[in-house]
Amino acid sequence: MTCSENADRIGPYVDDDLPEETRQRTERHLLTCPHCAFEAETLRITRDRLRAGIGEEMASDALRSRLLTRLRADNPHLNTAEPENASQPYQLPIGF
Amino acid sequence: MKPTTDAYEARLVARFRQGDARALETLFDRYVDRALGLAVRLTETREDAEEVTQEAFLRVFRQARQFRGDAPTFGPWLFAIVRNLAADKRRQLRLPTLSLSSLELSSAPADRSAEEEWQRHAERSALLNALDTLPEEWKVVLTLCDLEEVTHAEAAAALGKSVAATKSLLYRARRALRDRLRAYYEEAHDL
Repeated sequence: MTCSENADRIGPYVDDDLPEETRQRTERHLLTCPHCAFEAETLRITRDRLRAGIGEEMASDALRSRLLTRLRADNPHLNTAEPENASQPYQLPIGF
Repeated sequence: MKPTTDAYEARLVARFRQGDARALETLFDRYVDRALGLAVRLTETREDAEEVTQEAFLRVFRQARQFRGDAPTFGPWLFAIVRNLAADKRRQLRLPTLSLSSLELSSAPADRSAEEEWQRHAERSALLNALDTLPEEWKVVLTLCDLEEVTHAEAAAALGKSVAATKSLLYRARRALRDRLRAYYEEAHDL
């Protein structure tokens, strides 16, 4: 495998999104090519830094409350009288 | 057969249309942080991001109420609305992209823990600034796939692209972000 053949596979390789055989061929190339290995490693670091470095935005309780109030007002068809066993939002089935 | 998240959410949308308030609350809880996260990356101020998030939820539920037939998948539908509203907001302000330069990084503190905190602050600032210099579509794909960790298929639906095109866009965007960060650190090193 040459560097140009490998170029389009580095992104999916970093995300572990290649078929097994292609992944192994890509990995073999990376072990012998410092240029492509550097490319893969810096892309992995960039992705991981983005995930860890910025962090998720969290809506504050005040914002949640304000938006929900607005949404309920905008949807007068909703039945707001809750049954006794329905004080919590629906839970996603196990596995999701 | 195991139900899919899409099928579960489609049932929630159907229940919302029938007047079930808990279905609205569940969909809201599932998506409010991710919608806000995308809005924060695509607008100038926190106030704008919150306004965009509110309007996007109002619109998605209004459209869901009026929709005939099978509604689109909720998450990508909401993200696409956030993206459009954020674009409108930027057009109103006539700001193509923005830079978050409000963080004060002029003087490094003396003690070690404060120094580490300052370092984290500086790195976060570099990341945000680099992200903000990217074209809007690249910012959207990085925010959805890497920050909010939505699936490639959901990001593709939000972007109106195929999954293959979305992945290709994601890898190009990551490369561009990497190059900008390298330039930033090389510049900082030369100072």
